Amino acid sequence: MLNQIVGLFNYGATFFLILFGIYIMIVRNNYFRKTIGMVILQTGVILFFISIAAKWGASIPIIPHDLHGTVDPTLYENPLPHALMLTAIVVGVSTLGVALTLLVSIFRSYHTLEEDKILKEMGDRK
Amino acid sequence: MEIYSIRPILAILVSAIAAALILFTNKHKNLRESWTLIAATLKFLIVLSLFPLVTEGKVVVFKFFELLPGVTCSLRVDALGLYFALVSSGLWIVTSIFSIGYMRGLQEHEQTRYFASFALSLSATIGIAFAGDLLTMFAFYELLTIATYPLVAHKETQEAIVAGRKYLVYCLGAASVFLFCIAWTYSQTGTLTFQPGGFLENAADPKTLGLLFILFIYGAGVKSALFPVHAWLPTAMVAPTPVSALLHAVAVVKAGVFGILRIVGFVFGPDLIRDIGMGNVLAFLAGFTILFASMMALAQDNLKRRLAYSTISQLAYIVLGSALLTPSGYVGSMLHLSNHAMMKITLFFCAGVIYVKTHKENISEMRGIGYKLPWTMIAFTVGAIGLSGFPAFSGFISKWYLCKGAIEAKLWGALAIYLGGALLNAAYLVPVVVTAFSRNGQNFKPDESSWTLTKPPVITAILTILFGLIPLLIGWQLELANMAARGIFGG
Amino acid sequence: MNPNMIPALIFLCPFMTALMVPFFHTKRSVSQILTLAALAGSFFFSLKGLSITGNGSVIHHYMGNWTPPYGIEWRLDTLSAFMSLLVSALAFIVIFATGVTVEKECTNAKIPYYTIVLLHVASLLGIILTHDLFNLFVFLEVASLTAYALVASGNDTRGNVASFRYLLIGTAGASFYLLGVGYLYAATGTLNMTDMALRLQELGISRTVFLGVTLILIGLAIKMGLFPFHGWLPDAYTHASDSASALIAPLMTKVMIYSFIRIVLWVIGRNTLTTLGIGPILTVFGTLAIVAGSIMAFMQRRFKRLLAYSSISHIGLIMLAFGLGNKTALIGAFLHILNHACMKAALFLVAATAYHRHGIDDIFDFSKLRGKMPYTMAAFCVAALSMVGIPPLAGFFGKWYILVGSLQAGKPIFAVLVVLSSLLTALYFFKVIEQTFFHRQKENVTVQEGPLALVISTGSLAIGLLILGYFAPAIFHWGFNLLVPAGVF
Repeated sequence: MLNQIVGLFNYGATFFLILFGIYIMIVRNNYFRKTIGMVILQTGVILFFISIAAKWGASIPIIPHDLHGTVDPTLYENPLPHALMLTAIVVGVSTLGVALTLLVSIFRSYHTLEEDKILKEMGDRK
Repeated sequence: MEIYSIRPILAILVSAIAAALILFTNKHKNLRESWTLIAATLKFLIVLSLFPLVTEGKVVVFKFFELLPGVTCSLRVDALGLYFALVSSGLWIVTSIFSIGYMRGLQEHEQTRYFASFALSLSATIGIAFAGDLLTMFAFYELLTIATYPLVAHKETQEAIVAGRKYLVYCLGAASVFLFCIAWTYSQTGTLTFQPGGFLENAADPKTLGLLFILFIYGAGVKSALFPVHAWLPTAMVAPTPVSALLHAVAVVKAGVFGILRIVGFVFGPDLIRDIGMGNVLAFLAGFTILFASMMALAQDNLKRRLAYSTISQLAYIVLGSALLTPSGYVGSMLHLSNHAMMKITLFFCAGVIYVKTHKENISEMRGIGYKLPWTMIAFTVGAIGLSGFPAFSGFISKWYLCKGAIEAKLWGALAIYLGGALLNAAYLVPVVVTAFSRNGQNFKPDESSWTLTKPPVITAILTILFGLIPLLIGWQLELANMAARGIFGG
Repeated sequence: MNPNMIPALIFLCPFMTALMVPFFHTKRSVSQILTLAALAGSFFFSLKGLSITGNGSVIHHYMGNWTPPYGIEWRLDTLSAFMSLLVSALAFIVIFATGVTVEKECTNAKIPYYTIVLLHVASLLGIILTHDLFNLFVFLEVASLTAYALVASGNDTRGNVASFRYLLIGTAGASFYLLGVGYLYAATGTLNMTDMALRLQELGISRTVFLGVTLILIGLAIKMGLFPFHGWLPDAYTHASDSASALIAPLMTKVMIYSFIRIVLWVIGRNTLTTLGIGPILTVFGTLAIVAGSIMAFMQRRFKRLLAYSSISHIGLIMLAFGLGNKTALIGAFLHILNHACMKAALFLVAATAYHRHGIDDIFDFSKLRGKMPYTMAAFCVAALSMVGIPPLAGFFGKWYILVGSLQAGKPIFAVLVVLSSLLTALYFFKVIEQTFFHRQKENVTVQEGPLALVISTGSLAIGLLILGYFAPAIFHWGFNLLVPAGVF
């Protein structure tokens, strides 16, 4: 039982991060904090991918130049999720960039980043 | 035997093209009005040209496309369809002349929209008449609703807008149910084309078929103003009188009963309806409508509303005739479809003339008006007597066949309602005549100028007499009607 | 030209032009012409692709010649060709139409605007063409990012807030999608759709697969605006600039629906619709979307917001059709995707014309437009009646096939719902028609139509609806066996 929990530890961490991110996105009123929540959510997902790439006792996925015979995949970590996650991280960073630009623009017009105040003002300005 | 021809679609398109032309020439009044007249005449001629073909027993077909395996949307002109098309296109010519006089007499606004919508609704009506399968008929039903809505809400007053909304709610609701029934029919039988004698045999168990029948009648019945979905018709009387005349006495409501005639004869078939026991249900509903509407008519002071309830009652005559499930009843229904159209349109035309000339709408205000508008009120009298079924007028012929059908079906209740209804007809129409011709001391000078306004009622009144007296004309009617009935009832 | 290059060419036309547009920053008027040229190129290649795949054959394009499952594969089959044709054609018409409104709304930002538009269309085409799940995620995000930028374009500062809220919800959705892909990858070890389909068939449905599928579907549902994940849609469509909403409203959600259907049918397999219970859930959500969307639409005063809720309602209808699990309904759903995209484009262009020329966006002011913009309002009538489902206009046929499909599937209650959706759509569109045409005009009116390009585009879309309506049964018959091959459904 304990073995199982320790073995599935990565899933637990991912689960926690994702839910925490969603919690922040929903509960916090300030748009900037919501953005941070979004980043935490994305980080959780990225962590998930990386964690499934890991293997017990595996090494970095570079084939030594003096290898003879075939490659034994159990000796190397899975590089594909790492590559995918590089892309995902870049996507996340661009999204963060767009989000921050929007926040700057919102702040310029509304002078606040609190959601309830902004929605109220949006509703007032017909 | 089928002939392929483009004449059916031409008949429909003539007025659709006219509608577009009307929209584009809205600045030139006489040119615009001429499109309506040209289109009306052309349409009638095209429809008439199909008469010799159909009486030989051929069916004129025009295919649209294949919608689903087994369903081809097409136009098929048979006896019943041609009959309805002749009635509506012929009466459109007269109504167009009347419309021009009416609209100009009242200096109405938005005449372009009016004439264009009128032309489109006639397109839709002919489409309904010529439809060869349920789906095509449904498509033209919807188009008819859309095309007539601007006519109902024409005046743009609050009353007119509310009437328009009511009209839409009733008609679109019915259209939705109708569509559901069509899809259901397709999924049960794999076909939607009209067959004389029906094609729903053995499609499902009697209970399901009964429910389907009720829903179908609801779908078409709203347009034919059966109780309890009749309420839109009196409210729609807020429309200009030519609209009420053609559409709500002739085209829209006749499209509704036409739909019921198609459903009874060509979708279900009389034998099937008898088997599922729905004949009596429909007969009961129609009979109740006749009595109810006649009673309501007695209580109306507004002339057009009285005529509206009269229409509801007369339409129920037609539905009752079809519910009798006998050849004579069916023939009587068809005859009454056209004869009532002629008579009702006369009555509405007269109401329109009265409104243009005196701005009076209520019967109580119309004392002595017969002296101001003698020919008009004579035409009204002809229409009123004809509607009661007096011999020598066309109404007598159709009522004769309807009663014959009731006797054949041994439905004595229906016979009683027919005969009693005739008395009620007289009861609510004759007082109008009496009021009009009563002397009350006012001196009215006869003023029936503007021939476009006053000649049409006289023309249709003459038609009423002609179709009641001249054997040749009656013979043509009977030829088509008997042909339709023979196809359905088999010999 | 090697036919295998066609998928790449469809994507590259807008993509390369997007990189080229900023170089012409000195001559700003050129940017629209370049965009149109790129979209025309895309349309041409899609047409070529459809002519090849129209009989059911498939074009495979392997990126860098790496064969699957190692490399990324792009695939042009009948369905992709159909969708890319739709996207490129509609994008072309909309960009052609909104040249003047862009001028007015993004005066100093025309170059970035057209760059973003091209990237958006390129990424939509990428989503349509790709056959790799992670590649789809990348293009999904690019499409979303460019959509956020488009929503925030324009002079309305509320657009920024709407865009930000859209960003938050959309990124959450994309993250769910990515997580789902991760689970599926963990279970099968591949990202190529065909390969994964094979491996899933061997493996069967385990908890991992089930979770992955659910997460993917939730992610895509958020992106397409399926009830109850539609919260971003009304604000985004309303507060975006008119030119932008005319572009993203018809296209983006349809492409998301397409990818949803693609993944469920081609990757996971049709049987999961029944075994995993996805079908019934979709029908429930679809029903709620239809009813709630229509009621909300009826209550709106702003025309664009009404159109947004109408979109939600129709997306629900399409998902309902998909969830029925009947092929007639499915092909009817695709037909409705085609028709709805055209209708919505026409309607949003009408909104753009009304606002651009007369500053009118409230439906209670539409009576002023009756005399001033007769042609545009005539086109509006045609589009509105088509949305309601009046035959022979295009909108009727999608609903008819969905109706027949639901009866064939033995679920008459959904047939009733489809009919109800028509009635509810009629409710709010006739409200607008009545307001426009049957309320007294108070002013003397002179005809002051919108800009020529807008009127021509709106008019041709309206005429297109008539033509689409006439050919709809033919499209249905053609698509019945080809759009979704028999092996897949």
